[in-house]
Amino acid sequence: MRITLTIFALLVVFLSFSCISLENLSVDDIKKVVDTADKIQKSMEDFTPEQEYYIGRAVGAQVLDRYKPYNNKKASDYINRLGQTLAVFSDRPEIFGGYHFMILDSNDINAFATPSGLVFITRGLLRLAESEDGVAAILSHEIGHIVEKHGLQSIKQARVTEALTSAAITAADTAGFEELSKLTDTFSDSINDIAKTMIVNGYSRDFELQADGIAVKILSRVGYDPEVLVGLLESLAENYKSGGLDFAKTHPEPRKRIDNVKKVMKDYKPASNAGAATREKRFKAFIKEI
Amino acid sequence: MKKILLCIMVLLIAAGFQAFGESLSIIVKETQAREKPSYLSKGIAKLKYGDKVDTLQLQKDWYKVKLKGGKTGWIHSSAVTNKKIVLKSSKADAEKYANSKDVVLAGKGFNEQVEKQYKQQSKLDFSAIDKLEKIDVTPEQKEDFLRDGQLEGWEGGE
Repeated sequence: MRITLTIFALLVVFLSFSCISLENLSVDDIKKVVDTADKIQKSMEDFTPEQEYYIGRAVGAQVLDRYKPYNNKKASDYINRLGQTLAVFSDRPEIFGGYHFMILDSNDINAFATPSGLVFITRGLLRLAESEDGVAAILSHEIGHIVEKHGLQSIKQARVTEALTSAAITAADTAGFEELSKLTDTFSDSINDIAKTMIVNGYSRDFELQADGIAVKILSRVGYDPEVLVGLLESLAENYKSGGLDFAKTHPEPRKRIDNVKKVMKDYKPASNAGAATREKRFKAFIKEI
Repeated sequence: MKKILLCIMVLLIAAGFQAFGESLSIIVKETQAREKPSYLSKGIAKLKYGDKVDTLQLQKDWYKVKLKGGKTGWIHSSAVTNKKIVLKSSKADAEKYANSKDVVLAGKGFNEQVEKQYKQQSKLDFSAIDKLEKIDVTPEQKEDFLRDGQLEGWEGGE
């Protein structure tokens, strides 16, 4: 309580000083200061969920420009039941357009998560999972990237500032042709920033470790065995060819992530083995389709 | 002195916004108010982007809210905002609120019209994305999935 009062008192003093110092400035000066401060403060956090949604859809279209969807209804139903259930247990269960999961028809070992909740996983990566818990680990890791808005953080700051402060920020029916054209260019550049990071270069090691941490949290909350993430990373390590074109190109060396996962796991209780038989049965039915 | 008092009043008003009874707006395209504070609980009212609800109680991450017709339901905090949402904004609104931290202009910035223009320029195909977004797993299916796998079914908080 004393801390709260102190913070309150400090705020009052700060605010009153701020108010007094503004007296020496002209209206134009104040406007300039406010505009500059506003531009500096703009960050990807200022994108509305609706804007994030449109960014994510376009990034998803970019993914599908490089990979074909795997059209298998049984497999798609399973991956969405599992994925959408896992998302509920994340710290960001509601997202503008909801979470959706798609299998890509590719032997590459890779997965992508767009800002708006779209998750893409290749058949090659799914084949490395040895159980439902393993598939859940892959999907939870991707959900982790969405929760932490890693995709949005790939947009260059200059574009974020431009997108959020330009005069083109108007509702659809009020934007003129020039504004719309400028905004579309910024949009296109932003999508390219994310696609380049996500599909070509990969996220930073810190982002991958953070997503692993969230995966452990989600798995543990649902009742899956988080230990399975270690097994999956070991399996990925065996398939990791430095300089490779898929997973190796976009992810740090898996062995470097294992220690981190083990450390995070200490904070969570081990999963019970109940239900393992049922999960094994439905996993076998799924993996047969993959 | 007057300025200091004014500043204090501003702070107190801002603090008051955190109190219950505040009006919140739905910030996702569509969601459900549920019977209990859990995603596995039955949906009792469909709510859309920009709909307003009055809060009654906060339990972990779930708000108990007043619904139309006097009913009450639960909504997860990630689906709402205390910002005002302007669904159909005029040019005047756009100019007034473009940089506001307290007002969300629906359709501002990257929106459907920008996506349409981007589609034409990039020649990218969005049809598979549209199809993917239609895949919706119901709370009943999620509950069945958890129950069949004998998973714990965490009820919205640890």
